[in-house]
Amino acid sequence: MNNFLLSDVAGKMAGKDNGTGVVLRKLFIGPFYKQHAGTFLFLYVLFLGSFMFINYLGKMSSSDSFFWHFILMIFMVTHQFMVMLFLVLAIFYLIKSRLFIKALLQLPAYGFLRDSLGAVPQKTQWWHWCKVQFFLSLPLLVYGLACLGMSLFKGVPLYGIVIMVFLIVGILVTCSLNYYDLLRVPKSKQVYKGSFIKVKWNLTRWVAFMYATKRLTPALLITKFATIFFTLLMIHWQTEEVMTSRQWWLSFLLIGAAHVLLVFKTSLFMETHFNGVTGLPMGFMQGFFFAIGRSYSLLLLPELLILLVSGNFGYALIGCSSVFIMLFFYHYFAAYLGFNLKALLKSGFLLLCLAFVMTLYGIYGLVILGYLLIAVVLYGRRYYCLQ
Amino acid sequence: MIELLNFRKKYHLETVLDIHDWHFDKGIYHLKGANGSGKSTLLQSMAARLSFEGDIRVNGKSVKRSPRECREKVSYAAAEPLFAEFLSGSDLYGFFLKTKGKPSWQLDELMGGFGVPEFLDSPTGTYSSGMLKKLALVLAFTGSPDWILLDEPYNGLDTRAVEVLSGFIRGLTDRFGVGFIIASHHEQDGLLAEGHKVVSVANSQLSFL
Repeated sequence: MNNFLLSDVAGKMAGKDNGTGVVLRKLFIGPFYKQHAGTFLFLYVLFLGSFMFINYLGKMSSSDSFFWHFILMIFMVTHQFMVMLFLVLAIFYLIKSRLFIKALLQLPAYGFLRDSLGAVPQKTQWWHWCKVQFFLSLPLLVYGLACLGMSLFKGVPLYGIVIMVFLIVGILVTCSLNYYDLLRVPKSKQVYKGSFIKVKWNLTRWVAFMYATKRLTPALLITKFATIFFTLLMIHWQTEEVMTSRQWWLSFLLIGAAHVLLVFKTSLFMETHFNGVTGLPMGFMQGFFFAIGRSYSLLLLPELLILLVSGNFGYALIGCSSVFIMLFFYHYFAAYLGFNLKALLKSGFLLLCLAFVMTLYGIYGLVILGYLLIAVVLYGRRYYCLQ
Repeated sequence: MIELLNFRKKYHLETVLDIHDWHFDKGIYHLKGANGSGKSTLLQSMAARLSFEGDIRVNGKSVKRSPRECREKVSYAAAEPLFAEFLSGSDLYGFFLKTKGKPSWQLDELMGGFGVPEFLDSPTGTYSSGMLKKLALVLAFTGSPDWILLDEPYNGLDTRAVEVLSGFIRGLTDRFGVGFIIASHHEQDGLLAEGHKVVSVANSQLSFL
């Protein structure tokens, strides 16, 4: 009987492709799309509803969906802000897919991958991850390709090429992170002892900055590279006289949003190390700025200096102050959400969309005031300063 | 040969294992020790699944520096195996054959003795703990490892399966020179190969019994 059954198994193995690709698709790609189907639908509606309907198109018939997407893509490749917005959304999407894979790899039920896929030659392993990330990023790639086609059609190929190159680099970076995650021996988390105990000037208010520079170096470098690059682009567009004040404010919103991951991690660190500050008899605003005010201002110093040197004093001061407030908001909002990164990214994104729409209506001041007020209230509730 | 050099494993502040210098030459080793003595930790560290201090070398290659090469040479079966429940046994078996390669030995005897073909096509979410154990053991025997680490392999197996597994282990050592390190509470002396070595794990140290 056993012989019969075994030949049956052998036949099935030979006839059916039970190979690596099929299993990886079942393990990662299927669950990802099942879990995020609602998000994709939401983004689709949001794109059409917010950016098209409110500002440019007026009333829209649901049957004209395809046409409006076509128009949206033309808009995307002919307006630098839509290009930047698309790239920021792409970063969020890639981070989301990376976190999804990371979380799955930590599950005991996925532990067998380390013994199987983790043992194949490194190039093959990397290639498998590349394919997985390619399938996970299909919605982005489809839009990116459509943008490329549209940019060629409209005679502005640069934007389309920038989008595609950005997406490809993003996909390669994400797949390399996944590959490395599986390949290496898992590391246990080390407690950050830090040098602030030894170094006098680093004793309290610089802790967040020291932590960010020492332990979050990759996140810090990526964030600052992106935001500094964007700042330089803004200055370039200003010299070409294509920037309006509204576009400046939109840019500062994007710069603030780009810091969300960095601020999340710093906030988590501060929470675990300064649990004791809860209920301390310190001044309300002093507590609000405690340990992170100076650090965050230092984080924003490069953008501030670049803008000042370029002669954009007003934008430098107002813009960097508003980004500073956004960092405070993300810091306390992360704590309010119990350091749930997914929740922070989702709700932060929603609020950012709202802020975008309000800024497009010309009420940027109200947006920043809103961020500040929410941050102060969240801080007050968190540390029991507000009754 | 598997060498442990200044190997230390801590969980939070508690040192579970602290082994200055130890090596396993090819053969069958039976790891014995009380619950929490560090048997599973040791096996998982050797299988490049856990972080640790110091170094472990498999055939001269460091687990930390070359984890992929070490995983190729060391197979591991967990004490309580878990798989994504929507994958079937045949999905996993095919995946392991593709990634680790077909073994030099025939798995028919082991699979037949375990009765694996009868449930191979079902999703692993429907498996009992014994079935999961059998599948994990079969998967550990894929590829061409020099060492196979088995964590509590006899737990959950019926008498027939225990005999089949022990016979298979003996055969692989005799004919293919595969080394085994088996962590088990059970006395399987009669079932394992003659001359297998018993290693005790106690007080964070290893010692021959």
